[in-house]
Amino acid sequence: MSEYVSSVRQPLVKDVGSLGEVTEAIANPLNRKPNIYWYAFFIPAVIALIGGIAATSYQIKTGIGTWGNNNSVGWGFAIVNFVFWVGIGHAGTFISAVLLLFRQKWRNSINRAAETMTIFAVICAGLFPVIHLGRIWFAYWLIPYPTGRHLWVNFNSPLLWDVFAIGTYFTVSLVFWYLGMVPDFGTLRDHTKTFIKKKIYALLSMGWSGSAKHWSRHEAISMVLAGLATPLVLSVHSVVSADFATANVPGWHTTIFPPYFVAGAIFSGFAMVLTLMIIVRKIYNFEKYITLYHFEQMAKIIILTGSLVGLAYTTEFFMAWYSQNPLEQSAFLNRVSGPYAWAYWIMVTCNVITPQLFWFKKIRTSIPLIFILSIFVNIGMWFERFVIVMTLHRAQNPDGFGMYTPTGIEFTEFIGSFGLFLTLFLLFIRFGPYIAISEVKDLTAKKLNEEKGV
Amino acid sequence: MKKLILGVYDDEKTLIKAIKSIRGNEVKLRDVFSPYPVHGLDDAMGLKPSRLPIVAFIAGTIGAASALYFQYWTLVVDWALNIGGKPGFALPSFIIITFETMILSAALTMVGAFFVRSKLFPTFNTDVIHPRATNDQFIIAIDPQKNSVEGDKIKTMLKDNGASDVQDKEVAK
Amino acid sequence: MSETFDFTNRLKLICLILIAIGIVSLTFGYLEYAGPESYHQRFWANILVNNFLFLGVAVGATFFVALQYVANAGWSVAIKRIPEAMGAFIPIAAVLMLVFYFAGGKNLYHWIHELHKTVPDAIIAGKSSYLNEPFFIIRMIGFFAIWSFFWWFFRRSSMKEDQTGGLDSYKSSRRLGSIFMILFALTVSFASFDWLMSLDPHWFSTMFGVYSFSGIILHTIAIIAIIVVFLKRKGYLKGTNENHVHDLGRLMFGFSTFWIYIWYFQFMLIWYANIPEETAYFKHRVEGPWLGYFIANAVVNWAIPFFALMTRNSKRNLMNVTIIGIVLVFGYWLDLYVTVFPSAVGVIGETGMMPLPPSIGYLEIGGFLGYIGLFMLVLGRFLSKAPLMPKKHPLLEESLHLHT
Repeated sequence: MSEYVSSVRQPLVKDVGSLGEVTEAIANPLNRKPNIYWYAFFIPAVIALIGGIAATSYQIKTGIGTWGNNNSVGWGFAIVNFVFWVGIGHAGTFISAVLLLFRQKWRNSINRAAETMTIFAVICAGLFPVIHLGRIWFAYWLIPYPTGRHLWVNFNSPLLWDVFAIGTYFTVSLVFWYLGMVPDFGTLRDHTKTFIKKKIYALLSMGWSGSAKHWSRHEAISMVLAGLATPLVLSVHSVVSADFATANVPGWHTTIFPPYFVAGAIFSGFAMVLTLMIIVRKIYNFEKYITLYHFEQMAKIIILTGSLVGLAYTTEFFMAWYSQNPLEQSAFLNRVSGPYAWAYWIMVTCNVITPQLFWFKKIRTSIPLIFILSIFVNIGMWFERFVIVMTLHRAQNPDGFGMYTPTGIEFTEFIGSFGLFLTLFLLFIRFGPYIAISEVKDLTAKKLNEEKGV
Repeated sequence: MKKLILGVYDDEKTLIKAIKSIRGNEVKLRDVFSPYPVHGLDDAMGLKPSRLPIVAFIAGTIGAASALYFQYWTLVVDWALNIGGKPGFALPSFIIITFETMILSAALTMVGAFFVRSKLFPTFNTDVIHPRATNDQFIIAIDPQKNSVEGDKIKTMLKDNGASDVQDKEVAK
Repeated sequence: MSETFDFTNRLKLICLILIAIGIVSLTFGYLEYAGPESYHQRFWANILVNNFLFLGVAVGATFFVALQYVANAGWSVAIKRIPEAMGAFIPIAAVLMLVFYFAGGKNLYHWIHELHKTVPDAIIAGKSSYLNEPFFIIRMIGFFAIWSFFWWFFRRSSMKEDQTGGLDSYKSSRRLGSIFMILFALTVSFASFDWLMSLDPHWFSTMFGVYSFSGIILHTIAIIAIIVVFLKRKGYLKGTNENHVHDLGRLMFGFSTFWIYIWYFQFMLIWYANIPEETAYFKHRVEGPWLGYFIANAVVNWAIPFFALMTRNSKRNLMNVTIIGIVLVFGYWLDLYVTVFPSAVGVIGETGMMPLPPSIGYLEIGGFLGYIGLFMLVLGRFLSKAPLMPKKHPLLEESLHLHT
């Protein structure tokens, strides 16, 4: 029953001598003080977070008028950031679930970081619609519960679908993430010497013992969860896209939006995984477990999804012309040549053109270049949502024309969301099993057996 | 208090071979512990496939049916509203919430059932069977009281099948 | 491992009988339904459905080969000769499509008539820089050139690999495979805009290309699964086991769900926005006699495979996978029938074209059987031309040792 691995495959872990070494390599940094790189990222992140909290508090106290939203562009930064962060939150589940089903073994050493990213990105995403409510203390009105007013929520509204979709996605991703970490918390519990840490890890590990019966069930339900998470991940961004696509707004109402948003989400999510994994690798010197091969694979997924996004842009444009609908046509012409054309061209450059550089092996195996290009994709995908939302600045009648200029509050909140995201992420890699220890052991054991020739 | 015999192994191949040979000698295993899910271990131990996926299916079906019914009840029966000229029972609109609720109920129920079934609950004091079971070694645990074969014989059997160490261990239950 | 498929005379005879049934029913159908001036285009609509179906799975099979290279998938190596042989239908489909177009099939495309009028419909005239006869034909030839080239390339490098070994074929297939991924998405989108969507020249849906893609890949996998099981029953493909069938079953299950996702969102978004120029397409299908077929499409292509392939054991059961595969093949026909007929076959009324009610007769059944026969004949010939198991593929051993 041995699993055969062809010699053309690149090794997924490099120069690891034993299983114990894996535990040491991953658990020891958690017991040490972090190095300078960690602080270099952590301190600015916390500062950004504090700024974001201050701006948000002011905005909640004063009102939505502190934003640049107006009658033409009613959806400004808040929605752009929301869609941007939800998109980032797609790669984690994509890596864990879809790549698990497709047996892409290279996912094992990056899936935990990606799932973690998903959780935190969805938290950041969820904040924006909530603060956009204006009176956030009534946020619970989104939940269908019997009230004295005898009114129910509108189940026909895509915004309510969002509440359910994002809520489900967050919960299921959280459960999936935690379930995967239970055995790793067990390992950390048995490895840590400090009393308090040991107790906390013990609590989180739920008394995990490594029993074969538990493993057997754990594996069975992980597969089913992956099967459930796969359509879920497709549905979430499709529902987000339905916020736009169900509306009768030229430039928004187009049927390709669901798969196009999903491709874009995976695209941006992978870009963010690349950015973060390069940072993590730097902080912890993880060349053995996160190899160049991992980056190459992710770069290839970036080419593929980037090209699909490019194809979707082409299709949209083509159909706007093909429809012979003057409003559609003007909406798209306005995108490429209107007042926000600069945003459109940033989007095309960063999403369609620069990712194509990954076709060259030299570029996709150079860490600094991957880092730069992945940030380009992040920028481009943010602008994609900006371009879509800015469709609103030219409504169908001239009396609805208007421009949108974000205020300082909006910028601070946007930067603050990055602060929140990075703070949470850096804290997690400081205290949690940021690499799936048991899954990497599985890979290592296979590698060792192969070397021994058993 | 219960006394168990532990056989400690260093790699999965030896472990699987040992399990097969020990079970071949009519010795019942209590459990096996490993740092990662060992491929083929279920077969070697004769474990039946988990029935937890069935829980997910049932919970998902109930979740989907109740979500769909609830939307119908609120917008058709309890307080009918004309929304954008759509029919009261606007099925295409209801699909998404039905689907999300299905996934949510299936996932939460199944994972909940997993923890209950495996008796995994939050605790500060874990009864660790062997300090390296979650690190780099593989442990076979045998309850001598449940076996007709004598304890010493079991120990020799474990040793003969490549155990790097054989120990006695007392556990609470 | 050098087993070669023996295309026995008995199998050839079955193919020929099916082809004969096809020819007879198509001939009668032609005489009955293809009157030149009538809008009663049932015959040509049938040809279009069958052409697109079998072309789709042939191109889809080539895409499948490319996908396996790009994803570096080991499990599928032992069955890769099957999609390679399926691709052989592309050149034949090209001939059939050109014959279809020139022999009268172009009458299905309402915009061609419209452009010949002195005062054509304004919207159709506006599209005429894309939808015009010469460009339509150029595109058609271009699509076939691209697809045929890639099929020929993958097939040839696979044959060469058997002789020489080494990593050259593997590497070049990976490289061209990734290019084909993108070209495939582009060509399939535009081919389906041309051949299917433009039947209703006023209607447009940006998702239509994705919808065609999802149908093509789902049904390609269904056909591969049927052939794998058939060959295993006949004692071939000894290197494969139920894990390969399991993987195919899993892909069928997954893509069936993907297909319904696209199907649902395309319908829902148009239904929700309720813009007349878009709803015109679905109005014909959900109001009146076509509704049953419209719903049956979702049942056959999604509900049945979904519930029948849900458990692990059902995906490993050869019989079950074959039955669902066959259901899906008929499902694809139904899908295209519902896509093509209400748009192409009807009478001009006061409010534009009114589709005729569905009616499946000897022409539909016989024509489909004839095409199945032709497809099987081509497939059988190409399967028997090369060993069923690639010999020197670098990932072959992984496929032979597959277990889940």
